[in-house]
Amino acid sequence: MRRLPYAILLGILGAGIVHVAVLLLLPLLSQRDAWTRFSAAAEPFAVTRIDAAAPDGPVIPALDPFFMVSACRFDLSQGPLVVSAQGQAPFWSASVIGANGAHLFSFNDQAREEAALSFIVLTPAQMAGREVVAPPEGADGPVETPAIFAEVGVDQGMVVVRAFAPDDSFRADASVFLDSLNCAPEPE
Amino acid sequence: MLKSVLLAVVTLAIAIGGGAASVWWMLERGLPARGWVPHANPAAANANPYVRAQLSRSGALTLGRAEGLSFIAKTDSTGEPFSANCDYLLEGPLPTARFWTLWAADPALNPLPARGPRPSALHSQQTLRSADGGMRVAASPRPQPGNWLLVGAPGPFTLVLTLYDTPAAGFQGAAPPALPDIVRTGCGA
Repeated sequence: MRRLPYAILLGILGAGIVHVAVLLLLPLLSQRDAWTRFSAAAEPFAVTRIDAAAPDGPVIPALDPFFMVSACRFDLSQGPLVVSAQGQAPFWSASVIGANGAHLFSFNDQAREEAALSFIVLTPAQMAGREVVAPPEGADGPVETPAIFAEVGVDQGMVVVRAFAPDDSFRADASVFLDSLNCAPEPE
Repeated sequence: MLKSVLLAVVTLAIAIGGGAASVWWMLERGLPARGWVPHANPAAANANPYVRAQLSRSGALTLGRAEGLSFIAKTDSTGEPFSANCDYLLEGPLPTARFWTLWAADPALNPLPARGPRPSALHSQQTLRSADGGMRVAASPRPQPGNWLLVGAPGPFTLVLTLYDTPAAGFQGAAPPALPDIVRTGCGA
């Protein structure tokens, strides 16, 4: 039985290794993370409310009660993603989050002069094949503003759009803004 | 032969059981913290692995840089956990931001239910502003003069302070911005 202390010592050493391994694998294997939860709740490109107003209760916990939040997930292997919304929220923000939970791109309502949200999510390869054309000088009619391009290094992820509703009287406006949110692969 | 097998079983049991249990204990008990803790991007290269693991288990989403920055407090500034029966005063400077929100949550970070028409939440556009641009809010189950954050649930609670559209969101593991102190001012019956 002299070998028992040795076995226990070896076990404690192993426990340290297991501790580190479990800790580092948890974010990769978790079935409770935001991406897994949202993937279970929504089809790709389907805009879904994820705050407490969602039909089955909040999809994502810990969201600010003053905000209304919608999200859609995308797969860029089907082409660039076009996201747009129009409305009068007193503050809105949009964030592109990869399947691993990393923030890839975010902006808010002050990024552009106009109030509407409009941007394109694409991979560097898709961006390379795209010529950004400046509008010709002296062109007639309304000048089309160039889009915001969010270049991301992943294929799968989600777009989260938050609209601020400071009190109940703003909820209708924030709701209209989120209802107008559209996520779709760019037409060929 | 049997003894060797037995010893191997003991070693493996300690390694796997102890390793898994220690991770669970660390994450359930929470990391030692005092006052405000940033609730920031988990995938940042320098993120604490315990914070990352905890976030992936909670399912919460952090805010992007252009969105804002959240802080979570489970204790007052001395490290004492919040008690629903006590009054707290949040007072001090705030980083520049377009606006902030402050809400009370249960330990799983779900917002506390409203008491009648009054939610357990405040934002900077409905509060009295301090002349120095800082924040002064009393968090209590009983009505308070000035800015009052209702915290009505029994048991422990959590405070979440979020700054929206703030340059402070760019901080990457460097010194976090100065935030209001959380001082316990008394405990009522």
